[in-house]
Amino acid sequence: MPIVEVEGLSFTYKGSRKKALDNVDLSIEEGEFVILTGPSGCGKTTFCRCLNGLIPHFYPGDFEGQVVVAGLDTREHEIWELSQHVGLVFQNPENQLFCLTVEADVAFGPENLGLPRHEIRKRVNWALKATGMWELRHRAPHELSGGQQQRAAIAAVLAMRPKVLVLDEPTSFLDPAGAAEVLSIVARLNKQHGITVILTEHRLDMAAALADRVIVMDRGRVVLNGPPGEVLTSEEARKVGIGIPKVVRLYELLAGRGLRLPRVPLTPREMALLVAEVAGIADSA
Amino acid sequence: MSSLLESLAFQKRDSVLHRLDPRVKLAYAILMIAIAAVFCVDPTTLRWEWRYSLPYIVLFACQIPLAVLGKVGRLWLRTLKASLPLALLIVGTNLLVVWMYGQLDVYQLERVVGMGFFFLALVASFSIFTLTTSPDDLSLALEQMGVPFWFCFIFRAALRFTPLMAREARITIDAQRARGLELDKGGPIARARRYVPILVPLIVNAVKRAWDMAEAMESRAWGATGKRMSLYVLRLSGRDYLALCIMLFALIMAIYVRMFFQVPYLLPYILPLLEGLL
Amino acid sequence: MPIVLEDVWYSYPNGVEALRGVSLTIGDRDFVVIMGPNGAGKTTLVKTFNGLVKPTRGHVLVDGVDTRRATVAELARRVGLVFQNPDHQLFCETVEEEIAFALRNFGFTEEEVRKRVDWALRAFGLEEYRDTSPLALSGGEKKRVAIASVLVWEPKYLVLDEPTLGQDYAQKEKLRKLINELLERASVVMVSHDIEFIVDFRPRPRVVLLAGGRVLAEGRAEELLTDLELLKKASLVRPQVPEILDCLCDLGLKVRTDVLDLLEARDIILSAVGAGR
Repeated sequence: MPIVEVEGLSFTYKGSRKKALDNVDLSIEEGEFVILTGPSGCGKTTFCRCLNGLIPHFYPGDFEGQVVVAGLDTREHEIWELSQHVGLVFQNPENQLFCLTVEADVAFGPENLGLPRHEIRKRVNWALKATGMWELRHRAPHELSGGQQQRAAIAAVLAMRPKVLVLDEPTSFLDPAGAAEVLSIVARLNKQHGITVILTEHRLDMAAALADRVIVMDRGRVVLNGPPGEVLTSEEARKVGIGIPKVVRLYELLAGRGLRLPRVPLTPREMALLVAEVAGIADSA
Repeated sequence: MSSLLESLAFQKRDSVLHRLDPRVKLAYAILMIAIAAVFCVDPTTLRWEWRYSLPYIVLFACQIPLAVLGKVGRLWLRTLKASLPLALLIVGTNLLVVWMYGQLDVYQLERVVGMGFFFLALVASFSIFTLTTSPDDLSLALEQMGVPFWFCFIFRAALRFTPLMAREARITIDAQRARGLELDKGGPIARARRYVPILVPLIVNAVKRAWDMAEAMESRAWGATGKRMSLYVLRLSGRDYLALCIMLFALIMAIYVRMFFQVPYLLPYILPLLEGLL
Repeated sequence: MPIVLEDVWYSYPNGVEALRGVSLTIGDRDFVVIMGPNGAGKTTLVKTFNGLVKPTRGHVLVDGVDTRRATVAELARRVGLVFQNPDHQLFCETVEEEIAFALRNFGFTEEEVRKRVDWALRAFGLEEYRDTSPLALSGGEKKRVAIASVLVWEPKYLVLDEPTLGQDYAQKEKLRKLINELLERASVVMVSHDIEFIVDFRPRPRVVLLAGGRVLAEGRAEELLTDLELLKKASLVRPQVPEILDCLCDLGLKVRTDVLDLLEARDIILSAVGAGR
C-alpha cells in the first residue's frame, strides 16, 4: 500500500480562474526519495500543501479528486491530525521558527498535541540529534546561519514523528554550503530512518543523485515520472525547461559523438568512474 | 534613546538573581509599590500623600546591592543615568507648581525629592527585573500563572521577530535610497510622506510573515487540543522561597516602622547644616 | 571613468570589520562577479559603490567623485543597485508607478518619465502588468520589475545582488539574456554564489573572490573557478565540468582541468578515451 496516493487531484484557488493542479495521479511508496521539479508556477507548492491538508482546510477553493496519506483521506481529517503523519517544511526558514530558542521551536509541535512531558522531551532530543542541531539547541534563531535555521525547521517538523517529510524548495534562499547541509540531512533521514521524502527542488545538480525518482510538473500537470537518469535525459525535460545538471548534459554530448556510458551519471565522480571504465583504465574499480 | 533600550534588554549572566523564578522577581517589582504605599498612605484618611523622602532614598539604596548581586551593575547604572533627566523633570515641574502657588517651603521640597527618589527606585527595580529575567522565562511564568497561551505566544513571537523587522527596515531604507529617495529633505509633512516607500514593504512583509507563520503553526498541530503541555516548567526552589520570605519580612518591617515610629524629615535637618557650612 | 576602490576599510559601529583593505576597479562596460562565503562582506562592498556605505579608511571614487563628498541620491544616478529581495522595495499601487518612482526622485520631466516607463515595460515584457500591483506578481516577475525600476534611469553601472536567488531555470536564462544585452551599454557587477550560472556566460565575467573582508583573488573565471584550493578558501563548490576532469585525473586519465566549457570538456574526454584505447 503506497504511503501517498493521489488520484485525479485538481485544485483551483478561490478567486482564481486557472487550475493550479490539473488531474494529478501519483503514488509514492514508503521509504522513497522523490524529487518534484518544474518551472515556477507549475503547481509544486500547491501539491505540497495538498499533502498535509493545508489544502483544502487552510486554503479554500475547488478541490477535486482524492489525496490519501498513510491511509488518511486529507479531506476528512484535520490538519493537526495529518501533521502527525506528514511533515511540511517551507521555503523561508525564518518564518518557521517563532520561538526564542531552537529547542522551544522543536518542542512546539508535540506541546500542541498535549503529549506527556517525558514523551515531548524524548521526541525533541531525537529530532535535534537526527538533524545535527543538538549542540545548537539553546541558540536563538537569529544567531543561526540559513542552513542551520532550515535544519532547525526540519527538526521542529520531525518532532511530530511523521512518516513522510515534504520539503517545499527548502534550499531556495540558502547559499551552496547551507543547501548542501540541508540536503545531506534529508538524505540521511531517508536512508537511515526510512522517512519518505518528497523534495521540491530546482538545484538538480545537488539533489538528483539522492533521489529514487524525479517527477516533473508543468502547468499543473505531471509530465514526467521516473528514475533521474531517464527523466533528465528525456526530450520532454528539455522542452519544459528545468535545470539539467551539467553532468547529464555532458553524458548526452558524449553519446552524441559515439561514446555511450553504461548509465546516466548524476555526480561528477560517477561520470569520471564511468568514463574510466569505458576507457579501460585498470584502477577504475 | 537606543542605549536606554539596550540597557533594558535581558543579559545572560550566571548570578543569584538570574536563577530566581521570574514570578518571584515579579513579586519584587510589586513589593516596591507596596512599600511606597506604606509610607504614602495616611493610615487615618487612607489617602495617597507624598511626604517623606528618607524611605524612598532607602528603597533606592537597597537596589544597589541587588544590581551588584545580579552582575548587571554597569548597564543598570546606564539605565539610571538615562532616566535622570526624567526624574529631574518630575521634581522640577512639581516644584514649579508648588512655587507658583506660593507654598514653597522645606517640607514641600522634601516631598518632591521623595517623589524623585521613588521614581528612581521604580526605574531601578524595573531595570534589575528586565536585565535578569529572560523573556522566555517571563512568558513561561505568565503561562503558568494562568495567562492564556495564545497571548504568551504573541508576546514571544513579537520578541522574536522585532529585531528581524528592524533589520528589514534598514534594508528597505537602503534599497529605496539607492533609487534616489532622500529621506531628510523637506518639511515635516513632506518628510512623513517620504516614509511611505519604507512603511509599505515593511507592513506587507509583516503580513506575509504572519501568513507564513500561520501555515507553519497549522502544520505543527496548532489547535490540536485545548490541553496544551509545556516542555518547560518553572518550579519554585528553596532559593525562591527564601527570597519571598525576605520580601515579606521587608514589607512587615516597613509597616512596623510606619506604625510605631515617626519617620524623620531629612531636609529640615540637612539644609540648615548646609547653610551653616556655606 | 571607472569606479575605483583604493584600500577600502570599513567597520560597523559595533566594531566588526567588514572590509579590510579592498582595492578594485570597475571599468566601462565591465562584467564582474563578486563571490565568496556568507559574511565575506560582498553586500557591504557593493554598497560602497553608491555611497550607502562610506569607507572608514581609504576611498571610493565613482567617475572621479569621492563617495564621501556626494549624497547617495547623486551617486545612485550613476550606480544602480538592485537588492536581493524585491519584497524589500516594491511598494507602489501599479507596476507603472513602481518603475517611475526613481525617475521622479531624480527629477525627470513627466514626459521623460512616460517615455522611459513605456520603454522599460516593453523591454522587460511587463506591458501586460502595467496597471497591476507589483505585490500581486510572482517571484520571477517581481525580480523583473525590481530590475526594470533600476535600469529605467540607465545607470552606467548596474549592480545586482544575488539576482538568481529563488529563480527557476527559464527565469535564469532570461536574466542571462538581459545581462548580455545590458553589457553593450553599461557595466554589470553581480554578487552571486550561483557558480554554474556564472560559468555559462559568454564571454565570461572577471571574478573577484572575497573572503573575510579581503580580496582573495581576482582574475579570469577559467583560472579562479577551477582552482580547488582557492574555491575552498572562498567556501565555493567547484563547478561540475572541472570537477569531472579532476576526478578523471585521480583515476589515472591525465587531462587538463582548467576547463569550464562543456563542449571543450567533451572533446578532451573523447581524445583522452580514444588515446587510452
